[in-house]
Amino acid sequence: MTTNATLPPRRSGEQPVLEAVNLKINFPVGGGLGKNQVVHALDAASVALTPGKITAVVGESGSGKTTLARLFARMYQPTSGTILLDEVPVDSKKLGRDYNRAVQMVFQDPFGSLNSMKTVRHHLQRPLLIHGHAKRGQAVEQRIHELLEKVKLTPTIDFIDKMPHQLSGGQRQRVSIARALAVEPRVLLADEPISMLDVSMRLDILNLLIELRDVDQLAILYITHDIASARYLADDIHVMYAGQIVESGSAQEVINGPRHPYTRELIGAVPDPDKLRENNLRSSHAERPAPGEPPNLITPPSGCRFTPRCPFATAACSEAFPSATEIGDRHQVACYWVANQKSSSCPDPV
Amino acid sequence: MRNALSDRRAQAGLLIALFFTAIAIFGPLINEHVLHQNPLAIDLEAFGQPPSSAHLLGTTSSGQDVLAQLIAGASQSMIAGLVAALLGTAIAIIIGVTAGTLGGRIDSALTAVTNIFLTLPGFALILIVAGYTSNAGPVLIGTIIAVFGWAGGSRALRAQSLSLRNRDFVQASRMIGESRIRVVIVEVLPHLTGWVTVMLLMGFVGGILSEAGLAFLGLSGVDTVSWGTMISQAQAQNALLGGMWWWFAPPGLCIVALGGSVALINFALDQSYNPRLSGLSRGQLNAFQKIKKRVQRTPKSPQSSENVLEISGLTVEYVTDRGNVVACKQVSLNVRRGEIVGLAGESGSGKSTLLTSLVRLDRPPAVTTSGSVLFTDRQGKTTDLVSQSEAELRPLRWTSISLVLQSAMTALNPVMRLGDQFIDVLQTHDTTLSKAAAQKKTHELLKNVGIAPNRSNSYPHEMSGGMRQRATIALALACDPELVVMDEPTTAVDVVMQRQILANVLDLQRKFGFAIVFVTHDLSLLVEIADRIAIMYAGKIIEVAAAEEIWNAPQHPYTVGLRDSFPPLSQTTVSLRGIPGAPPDLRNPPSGCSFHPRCPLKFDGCDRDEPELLQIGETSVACHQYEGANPKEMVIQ
Amino acid sequence: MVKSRPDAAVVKLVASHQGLRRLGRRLGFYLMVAAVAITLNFIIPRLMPGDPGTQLLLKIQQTTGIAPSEETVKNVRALFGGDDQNLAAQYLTYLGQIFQGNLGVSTSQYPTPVSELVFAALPWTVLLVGISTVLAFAIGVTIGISLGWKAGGRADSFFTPAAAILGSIPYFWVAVLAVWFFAIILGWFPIAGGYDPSIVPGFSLLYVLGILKFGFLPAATIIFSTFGGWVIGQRNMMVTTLGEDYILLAKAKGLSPRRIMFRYAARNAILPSFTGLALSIAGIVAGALLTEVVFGYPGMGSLLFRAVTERDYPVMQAVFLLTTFAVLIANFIADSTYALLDPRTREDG
Repeated sequence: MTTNATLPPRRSGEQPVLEAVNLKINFPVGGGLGKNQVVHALDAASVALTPGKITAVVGESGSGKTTLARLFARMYQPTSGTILLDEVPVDSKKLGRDYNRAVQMVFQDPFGSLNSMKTVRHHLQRPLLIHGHAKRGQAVEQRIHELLEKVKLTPTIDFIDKMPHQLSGGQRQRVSIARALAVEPRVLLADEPISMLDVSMRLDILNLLIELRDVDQLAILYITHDIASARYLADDIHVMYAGQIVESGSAQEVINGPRHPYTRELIGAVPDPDKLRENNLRSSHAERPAPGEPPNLITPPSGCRFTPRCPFATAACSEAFPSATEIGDRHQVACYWVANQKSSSCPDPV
Repeated sequence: MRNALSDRRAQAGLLIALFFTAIAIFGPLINEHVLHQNPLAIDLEAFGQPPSSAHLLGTTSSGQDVLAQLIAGASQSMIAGLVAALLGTAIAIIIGVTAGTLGGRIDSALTAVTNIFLTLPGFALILIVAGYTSNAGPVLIGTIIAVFGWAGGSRALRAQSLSLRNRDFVQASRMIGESRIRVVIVEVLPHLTGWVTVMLLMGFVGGILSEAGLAFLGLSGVDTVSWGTMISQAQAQNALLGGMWWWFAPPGLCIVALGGSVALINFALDQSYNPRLSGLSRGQLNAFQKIKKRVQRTPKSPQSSENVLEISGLTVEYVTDRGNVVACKQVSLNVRRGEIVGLAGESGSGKSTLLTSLVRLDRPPAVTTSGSVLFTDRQGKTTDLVSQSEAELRPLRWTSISLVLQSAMTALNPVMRLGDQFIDVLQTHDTTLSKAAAQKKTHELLKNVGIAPNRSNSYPHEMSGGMRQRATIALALACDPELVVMDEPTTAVDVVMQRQILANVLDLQRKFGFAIVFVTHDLSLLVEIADRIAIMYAGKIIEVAAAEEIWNAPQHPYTVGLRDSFPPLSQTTVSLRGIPGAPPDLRNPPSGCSFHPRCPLKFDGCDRDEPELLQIGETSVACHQYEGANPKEMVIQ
Repeated sequence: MVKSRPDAAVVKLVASHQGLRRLGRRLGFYLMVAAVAITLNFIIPRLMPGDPGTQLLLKIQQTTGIAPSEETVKNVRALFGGDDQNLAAQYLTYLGQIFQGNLGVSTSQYPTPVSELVFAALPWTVLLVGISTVLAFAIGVTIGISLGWKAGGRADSFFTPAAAILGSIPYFWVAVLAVWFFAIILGWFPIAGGYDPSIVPGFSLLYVLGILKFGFLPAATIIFSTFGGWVIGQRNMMVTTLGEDYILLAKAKGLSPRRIMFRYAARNAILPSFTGLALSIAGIVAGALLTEVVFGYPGMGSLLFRAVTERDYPVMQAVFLLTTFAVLIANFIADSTYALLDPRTREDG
């Protein structure tokens, strides 16, 4: 489809621990006899994760963000592109266990990600034993208590023998994080870790992720559709639309100064009670999102997939996906229109 | 499991099954030492005798003791059943679980084999094989039955393990490096216990029935005695015609009793694994009857005709066998004509229960136990919806209050064309409306939300998520209601679509002037679209105020915490803390103020007395710190 | 508004196209099962102890008193093995025979061709099983709908477990009791047979009435033994469906309970029962075979029973093959009905 071999935006002088370069995946659908169709779920995505940084990937459902996380978790094999661990391409035939020693994942659904028939102890004990971080007996017990302490399930003795159904959603998600930490990974993939939690319990999980970044120097991938939460904890952000990364940069810069037409529409649609006076749906002059919906990914539009909905689309947009334009420190936008604006050095276009 | 065993029918079933098991095990001993009868001994002196003290169940036409045969036959029938159940289930587990967990080509191949065995008329095949292998004993018969009967179970197990395989906890245990085999045995298999139990039980019954069927056709060994061969011989000797019912009836009754007992156990297990299937218990139904009698029909008048809805003292309880759970407690709320009222709360706050109660659609076992919901129409006529019978409510529905649910995919009937789901409600409430006129009206309604008229011929699954949700909004406006209740109408769609839909809804609201009750957990969204917001916590409304007040000057500590749980989108990012702890379990609510265990400002007495909703300026708040205080001087954070 | 999506007409076209494709796939599957059945028919006699082919030839010689002709020997060997050809060659010869409709010669009624016997019996069974399956399904589903509508009620807590027990009553035992009570004690129905031999067969009213009279008890037995399963399945689906959002919305719309019960709840809840129908036909046929034996009904069951007791292998094999084909056709009809009823025509696995 496109051949823009851009490397993911990096911070100078920092070694990424895990890196996706031009990842692309097509899922076959339908199956059986006859012509097979494919879903073009992810198209040439490049993302780098650095120790001590949280990288957010935001987008709507079907944007490919969860697919990206699952590719990083090696649940799928990419159609093309490479994953680099410590700058070394990951061999697809290499044992998963070694890879998973470095990369762990926290799932979206706190109800589904724990085995409802097993205790908290079982969930934390297994990774410790498998990866030899503790031998049987006292050491394991000691380590489990430390892990529970780390995710703030205290007093730990109250939680160690609980079954998942005896815990709240927030507590379950902490067990899930503790299980990932038991492996002592360097990368944590968090796939919408708060979207199924009650609002009042979300911040504590976000704060826990921040602590893991700052204290334990983990590299964290944060997948979300909640843009405000991405701004709250992420250092870097990638915005995805229909399987393509359209804008990347520091979280503050992208969210407070979006440049890609889609990012503008996305961020404009998020309710912001602090800006009620300027942009309130109830007032007649409020900005209305343009009509339209994300495309069907079995037959996606060619080139930039936002083209059919884009107010600035030109013929070029349908021909090839634009390569990234650098418009600030690590702030990249994949858009012809933005690139033109930049070269004609017009300040803000709208 | 425990639930199933407390079922009286299951207990009876278990008792009978145990009785027959004992007979099967001790049968030879009983025959030899208690009855002193040899089931195969031919006594030409005593052929075809009716029951007597010498032969408790009479004798066969060749003078064999029927009771002794019945006792000896128990083990033969049960061995055939056991072999069929154990072997069949084992094959089903191996093939079904392998196919479901491995997936890919292996799955396709095994599934094809399973489906073939499922489609082949197995019994005809069994007959033929048994026809070749004459004189088959119960073990061989059980084996043949298992070999041709495993496919149904395998199909179910495959579906189950396939769905388990994709569950996150299985993925997670792969992620931490658990081996494939261990994942299947330790993580997946325990979840299949219920299915496997059902399969064993059904296999057992199937085995006994098939053995009897084969024996009836004379295909089992001549020298063995089973219930099937007994019926077969009785039939061959025309036992019934000859009046020897004591020979023909008992073996059949034994099969029915044993099979029926196992079926009962299976039935109870099934209901305990799927508690939703059992419906309401007798205790719940009795409690319902009592509550229905309690609701009074005294006419009430509204405080103001400006209010389209006045909810007062509304209490909704979930009736369970272990006592009632109060999900909504003394809720009072007014909705003015054309007003948008937001209802915010977390899971377990009772917001959805309140919503279903005010549209009078309590989902059992929920039942509205007290309070009133006064609806006043444009002509000024007031009705207490709580005291109306179902038949009295029906003409009011949709014309006065309509409903938009969270997921349009599940809210629309999947097998009905979109247009028909409009036409049926239009024609129900206006019997004079012709089909053509209803169609025309449907097209107009769809156009209101930007859907092309030809879409009315589509089925819901043929539309996109956003379009479906817009369609349900158009549907809600079909009968020109005065109030539209929206339950998280945009939670299932993405944020851009959410804004498109809400802009559309607000335009229509301005145009038609209906009032909206908007239920959501997203306070930041409510602040933008609502006039007033009510905050619910643990079944109670704890604060009601104008939307901007709720955001800028929340009074209740919970509201403060809830607001601060939304990180800002444009203002400077500061470190925030959520609310410690979790919402209370309503089966076991805290004493006093239900928020006190999580409250940063709690003081003496908060855990003792329940706070009342106090009017403070334009805000109502239920918190002890405002009792006797001047609210303007209270500073919270 | 919807420029990136195909319009309704196209969607509909695609949907019906998918429906056809699904049916096509099912048809392919049934052809495969038919091939498996034909192959099993080839393998089973060759796997059995002894040498059925030689036994058969001996039997023919005993019955007729003369050595079987060369052609008969060839035919028997092709169907039952035992000659010196290798298996592949045997299989090819066998296939050739089958596709010519040559199913061999009956040994118990030598030298009647098996196909003649089988095709005389088949219509009786198809009629009996077809009518009783449809009736049992209709009765069971109707009862299930009404029990599920008032789940937990008095009727539900009695009839639902009772229906569960019904499934464990042996067909043939019920059949014998039915003959004894209704035919012998009360004398309402004939004791055995499929038609009145004193009436000339044909499309006369008398003949058809006779068929109904003779078929009543066998059909009633099958219905009695099978409808319980439909009751439970339909009742459970009804309960599940009643918890769906679209039922809540239908109530909120103020539709009449009748409309909700049938057009919204039952209409959706019946779909899985149709899938179940296809899967259960093989089981119903099994029961019908036994029932026929008790009633001396001139169908495949009685034919098979006689063949088995007299070790008439060619007839046994042919009954199996033809029964399988009939079951496959019935399956396909049930599948097609399902595809017609469910606009989603989704693949259930």
